[in-house]
Amino acid sequence: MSAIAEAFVLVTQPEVIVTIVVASFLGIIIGAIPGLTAVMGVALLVPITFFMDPVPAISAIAALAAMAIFSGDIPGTLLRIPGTPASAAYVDDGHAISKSGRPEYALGLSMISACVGGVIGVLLLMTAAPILARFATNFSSVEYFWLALLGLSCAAIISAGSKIKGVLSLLFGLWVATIGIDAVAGQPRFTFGSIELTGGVSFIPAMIGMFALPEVLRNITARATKQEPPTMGPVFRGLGTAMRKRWRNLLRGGLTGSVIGALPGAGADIAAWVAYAIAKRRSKTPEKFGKGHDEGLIEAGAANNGALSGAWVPTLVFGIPGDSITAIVIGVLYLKGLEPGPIIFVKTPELVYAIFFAFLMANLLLIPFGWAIIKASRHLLRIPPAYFAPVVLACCIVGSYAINNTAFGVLTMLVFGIVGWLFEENEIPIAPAILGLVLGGMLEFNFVTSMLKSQGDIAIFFSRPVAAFLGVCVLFVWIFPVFGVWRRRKIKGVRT
Amino acid sequence: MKINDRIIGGLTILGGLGVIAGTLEFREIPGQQFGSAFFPRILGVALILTGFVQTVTGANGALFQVNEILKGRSGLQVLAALAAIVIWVIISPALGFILTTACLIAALAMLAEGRLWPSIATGVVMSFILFFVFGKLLRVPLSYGLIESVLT
Repeated sequence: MSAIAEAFVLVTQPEVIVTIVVASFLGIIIGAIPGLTAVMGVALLVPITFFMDPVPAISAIAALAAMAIFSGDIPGTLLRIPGTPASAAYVDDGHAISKSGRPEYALGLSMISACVGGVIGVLLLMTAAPILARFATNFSSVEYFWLALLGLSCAAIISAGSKIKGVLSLLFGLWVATIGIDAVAGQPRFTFGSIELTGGVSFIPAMIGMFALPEVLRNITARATKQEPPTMGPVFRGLGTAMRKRWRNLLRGGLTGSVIGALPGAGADIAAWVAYAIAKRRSKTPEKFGKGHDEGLIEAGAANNGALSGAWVPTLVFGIPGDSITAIVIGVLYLKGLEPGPIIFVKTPELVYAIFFAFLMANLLLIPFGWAIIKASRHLLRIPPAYFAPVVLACCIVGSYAINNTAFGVLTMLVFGIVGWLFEENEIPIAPAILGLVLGGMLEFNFVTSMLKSQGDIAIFFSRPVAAFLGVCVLFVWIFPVFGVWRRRKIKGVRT
Repeated sequence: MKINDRIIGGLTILGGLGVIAGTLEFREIPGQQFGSAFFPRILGVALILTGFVQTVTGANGALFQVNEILKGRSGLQVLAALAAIVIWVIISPALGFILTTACLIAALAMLAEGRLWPSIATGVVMSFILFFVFGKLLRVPLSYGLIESVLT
């Protein structure tokens, strides 16, 4: 049986379908609740996937993320509170359409755009990933070192806000990754005499703490909104005409999102903003943007879910996460004993194709689940944070406990949660720290291996054409912002 | 809690020095050029350099600024949420998962201005659901505690 047929059988197993449906349900609810994000939902799902086989585990993550990213548009459209950061780009347009008395139309556009964008992203993933994987089978430790460094550099430097703080976050994550017994020398590093730390910092409690606990703390102090969500009319009315009119925006948004998502470190939020800017630039009526126009909403909505699928290209092919969600996926794959990278395409191609099918299924399920959540959204948005924030905290606790069945996991979650909260309060991005924690081991291993092979000669990092190209890319990512700062200061100096 | 950028830079430098100091006792492997200390020392140096740049380029302002979220009732809610985690760790083995989690959810919900009965109902229902999902379906050994005789 071919790998594709085998994958189809795998993904159509009843337990996989049930898992996808349950994860989709959870995702669509989590995204629709203001303050709960797709990344947080995935972080809370991971302890459950810990007990599953690889295919249902990864399918559940893919389904939850796809649903949550779409349903993040619901509070944005109805209350002008973006449910996820990725919805922020077009929140004004969605809310303006909603205020004009057609909330179901705005949400219907988001739903169809998310579905089409997601499917475009999956098609790109299915086409590009196997080709890149064939190319990447010739990579050595040098190329992997550069790839890991490129992914980490992009995450630290492309991330919004201060680049220095992005680097600081990354270095913190890399340091945390060194905690535990060094596999090569058997030397305990930074364990502070703790037996529990000799195995390293457990990735799942750390990730739950950094992503979920700050959100719990914010929500527990938030007050319920006084706004009354509007009532919904027929969801599909007028969507066919709009989509026929705006098919260019739909396709361009899906493609833009998929390509941006495939860049390491650039996630759905960056893709949505870029797609919105492109839509505005190409529009004949740019003055209408932000006032209830559908072009930006369709293009950025498609880019959101396209980016989500695109981010899996570097994740599966090189083991380099495209965004925070795929950083978590890499951690899950390692926990399952699967090393993401080109070899996974050779050793277990059926698993990779099963992930593709699961992603496709999740994106198609967006239509029925999306319709249901749009209809139910009025009631969901009335739940005050006072009730759901403590429940999320309980999920964080039990999820952290479940990994090793020890209270140490819960305390790890608490410590990393406080660190994550301090990071957010001081505008230090969290994603680079998580990427550093996930990729730190790989970076160190490939760096030290290459240095040992060359007996300390740094020239090895530029000795092969692909390695040299990747090295130049990394140097460009590091030097470009420094050059930008120097240029800005020079211009400022000339003006004064 | 907002900390001045220059203090963040200073703390980063101290962190870098701490990382390097922590590697001094790592044992060398005979015949191996790059041991356990090699990579952490590079990180230490990178932390020192990053901290230095942060200190030099960081914005001026108050050394520490307590955010609104930590003042008054909000501050109490944040502290209660963090304390609840520690309390859960201490008392759940004896009291049991369901009772501890139900109390935790209900107490925090009420503290966050939830109403009495909906808060208790949320706590009880959600603790049973979590126990069913993790304790029964996923076979995580969650303690029954005081209600063991009732549930088993």
